[in-house]
Amino acid sequence: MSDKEEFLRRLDLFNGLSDEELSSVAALCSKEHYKAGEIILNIKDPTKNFYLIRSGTVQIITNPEVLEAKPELADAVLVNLGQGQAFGEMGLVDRGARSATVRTASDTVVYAIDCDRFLELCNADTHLGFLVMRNIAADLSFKLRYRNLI
Amino acid sequence: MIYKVSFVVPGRRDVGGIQNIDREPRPGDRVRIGHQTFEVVEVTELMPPRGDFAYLHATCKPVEER
Repeated sequence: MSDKEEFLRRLDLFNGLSDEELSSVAALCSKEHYKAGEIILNIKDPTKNFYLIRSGTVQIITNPEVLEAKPELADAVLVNLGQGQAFGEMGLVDRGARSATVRTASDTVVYAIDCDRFLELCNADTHLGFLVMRNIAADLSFKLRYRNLI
Repeated sequence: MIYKVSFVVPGRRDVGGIQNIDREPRPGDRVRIGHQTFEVVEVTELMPPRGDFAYLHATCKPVEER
C-alpha cells in the first residue's frame, strides 16, 4: 500500500473501503502545498474540488469580510480543522457554491479531489459511493454536534 | 483505533478544532493547538465508535507557559 493510500486509510471519510477502493480514490488525489495565511477557497465560489488535510490546520471562515476588518472577532472562524479532516465536501454532496472561506492557519498540505471525477467513481462503484456518502453524513453530524457544544 | 477529536477551550472559539489522532486523549494530557498548549480537562464520547474510528469531545484549558 502506498504512502498516500496509508494516509487515506486513516481518514474516517473512507472508513470501510477495501484496499482496491482506496487505490481508486488515491488515483484522484493531487497534492497541494500552502503557506500559512493563504486562502484555499473563497465563499460563494463555484465548487470544483473537495480537500483532505494531510498536515497543518485550516480555518473555516463564514464572515471573511468581518475577520478582515476586525481580526479580533474570532467568532468569524466557524471551526479549525487539522490533520485527517475534510473540507469542501458539502459541495460534493449538493454542488452548491462555497459556504465559507478556507484559510490556512499554518503551513498546510492537502489532497484535492475533483468532485466530478469522484462522483463518476461513486456511480461506477456504488459500494464505495454508499460508504463515502454515509461517512460524509457522519462527518457533518460530528461537526454539528461539535458546533452545538461551543 | 483512530480518534477523531473535537478540542474546545470554553470561551475561546478562536482556538481548538477537530483533528484525527492516534492516542485517546485523557484528562491531564497536554495538547498543542495552534501556537498554544492546553490541558485536557474532560473527555466525552460525541458519537458511538464505527469501524476503526472513535468520536470524542475534549474540553481543554490554557496552560501558562514559562
